[in-house]
Amino acid sequence: MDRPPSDEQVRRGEISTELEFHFAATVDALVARGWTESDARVEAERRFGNRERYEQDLERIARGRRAAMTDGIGKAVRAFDPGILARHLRYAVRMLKRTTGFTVPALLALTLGIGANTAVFSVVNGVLLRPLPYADPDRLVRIYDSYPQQGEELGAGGVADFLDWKARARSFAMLDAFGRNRFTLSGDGDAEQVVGMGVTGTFFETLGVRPLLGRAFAPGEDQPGRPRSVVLSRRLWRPRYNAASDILGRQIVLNGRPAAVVGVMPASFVFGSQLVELWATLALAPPVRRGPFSTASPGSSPGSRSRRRRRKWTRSAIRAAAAPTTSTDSSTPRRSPGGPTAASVSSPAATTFAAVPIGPWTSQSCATSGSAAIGGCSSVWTSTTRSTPR
Amino acid sequence: MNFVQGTLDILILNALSPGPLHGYDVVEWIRATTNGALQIEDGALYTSLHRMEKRGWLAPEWKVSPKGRRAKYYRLTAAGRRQLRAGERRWNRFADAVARMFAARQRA
Repeated sequence: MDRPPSDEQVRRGEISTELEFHFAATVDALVARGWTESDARVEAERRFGNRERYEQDLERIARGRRAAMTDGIGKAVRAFDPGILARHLRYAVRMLKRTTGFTVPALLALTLGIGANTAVFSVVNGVLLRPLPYADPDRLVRIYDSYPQQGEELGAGGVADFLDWKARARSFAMLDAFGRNRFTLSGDGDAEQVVGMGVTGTFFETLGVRPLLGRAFAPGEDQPGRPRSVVLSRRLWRPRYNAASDILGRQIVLNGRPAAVVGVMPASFVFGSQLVELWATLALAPPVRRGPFSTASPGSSPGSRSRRRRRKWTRSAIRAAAAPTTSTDSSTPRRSPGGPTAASVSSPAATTFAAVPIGPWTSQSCATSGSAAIGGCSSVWTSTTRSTPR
Repeated sequence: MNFVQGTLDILILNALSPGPLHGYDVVEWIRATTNGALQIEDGALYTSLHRMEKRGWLAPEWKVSPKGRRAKYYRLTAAGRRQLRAGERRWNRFADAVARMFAARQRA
């Protein structure tokens, strides 16, 4: 009984028929030009090349969905043929869909692997690889007040302490205070709330950064009673002021009071948080130590506990008034009441101060503790260690 | 190798653009138009023909030749015509660039 020929047999038959025709035609043509038939046959075979190998190739092409595929991918990639590439991608997606048992775990493993890698790298990059964007990062330290009775190791400080340290501490070449705050920006265009920082006069000098435009604050520009000066971030300058170069010297309104723009910081400058969009002079007046004592008199408020605390404050205030500070260099400065921050008002009398190096690592904690600072006006201080004489 | 292969494809598509031909006619057409300058084995032409058929650039038609033999004719499909046009553009750009390069050397 005759079985119908398989596809394979049909294909093979077609190939040999086609090639037979080719050889016959070649020989015919040569003979017509005067070749002998046997010479023509030899010539036809010479011209064709290795017939057996070519026949195998043709069969592979006919059979070879796969061979044609890989060939096609290579070609598509090399020649950038979007049609072929798209076809192969569709094919790949179909195959992956068919084998979900493999695809899903593989995809999951890849996703988690890449995600974890990226996360680890961004931390390593931020913490270890990229230096702080300041001139002398290894000489920068950050100083905190600690309030052991409140269990707060690294807390915001008070104005009086800062002014005392600035006047007396000799371990630091420069000492500056900064405090994050929200400012209402108005006067030109819509009123807007922006995150900003109040900083003392030599803040930018301490960090060793230069503005993109204009100047940083000059020493003494932060004296109480002077109108505020403002340095804008590029992030604020571009959208709100259309990157105007005549922004320098312009008067803007900050928290309802006029302030003069003196400079614009480059986008690369970040201190504490990326959200900070402007820096304004922070005028720190020495707190009044001989205040109206009536508010702190023992009998004026109910509750023995708060009365006791107030008595203590009063005592320390008197002591502080009598001998403003006994501190020199690294001895323990006395805290006096009346700083503008909530932290200093609610803190007990005895404080110590700590110098904490700002490495790239603590710059992260800088961002978080900055935003967590209670009250947030003049909360923490930076300084640099005294420069060694050269 | 790939460069030669791509070139061969374009030559064959070009040979088929006026109308269907069988393999031997394609071989002869290329030999005649290039004056035998291309040293390509006839077998290579067939692999090229079959590959393009597989890709849908050529459609096969079995016909009886004028001499009464069964022969496989190849006809250009729409996709094949697009390939030919794209190939021609690629080649012209390439030839143009080379010509300009030589011209630049002569000026220098």
